[in-house]
Amino acid sequence: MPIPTNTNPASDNSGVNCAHSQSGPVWFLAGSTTGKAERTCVIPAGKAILLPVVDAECSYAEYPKLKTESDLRSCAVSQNNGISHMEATIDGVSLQSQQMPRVQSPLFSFTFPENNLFGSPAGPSQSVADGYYAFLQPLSPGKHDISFKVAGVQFTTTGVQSVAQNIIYHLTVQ
Amino acid sequence: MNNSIIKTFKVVAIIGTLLVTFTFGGTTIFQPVSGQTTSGRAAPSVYTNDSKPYGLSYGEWTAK
Repeated sequence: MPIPTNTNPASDNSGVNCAHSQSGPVWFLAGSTTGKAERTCVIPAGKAILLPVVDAECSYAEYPKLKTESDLRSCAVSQNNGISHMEATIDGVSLQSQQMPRVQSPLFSFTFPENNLFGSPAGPSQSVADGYYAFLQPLSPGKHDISFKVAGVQFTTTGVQSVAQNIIYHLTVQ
Repeated sequence: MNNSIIKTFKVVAIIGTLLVTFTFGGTTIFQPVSGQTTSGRAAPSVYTNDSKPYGLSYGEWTAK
């Protein structure tokens, strides 16, 4: 969310922005604003990988009518309640449902830049995220393919919309 | 003449046995080893939901 759209990994369909803002022991893969992406990335060996099979968030900046953390949490949770199909594979091996648990974040602070993913006003805000995530231990050096797909409907504060996402990562760990 | 018939019968029996073995046993014989991908790679290791990788919970990492 704090990354402008033109360099944001979630709006990237090739992997060119894969390494943007990555630091620390965990490498973050991204969802997609277009619902479909095939990305090729090189990541350092020894990094754990956080895979957002499907996620959603609600912030005060995007939803000014929401006034409390509880409001944000209900908003984020409701967006994922209509997910009817979800799958993730690592090198052709499907993850079990318990390997991609549903998780909620605590309330967190961030700053929307100009030209952000959601077209929100630039500036600081707070948000809560909800979603299904897989947290992979570091992969062995070499090439790995990760894919994740979801389908369903998403309940937002303004209505219901269908959701379909198909993301493929071709990773080289080195 | 009888020897010829017996030899033919033996050949047919052997071929039949091989066919049955590969037809019904093939799926077992050629299945990959459990826990590996078709490419021979091991299944990935995943942190459990209640673990705290690098000191933070799943939820805290999702806020990063």
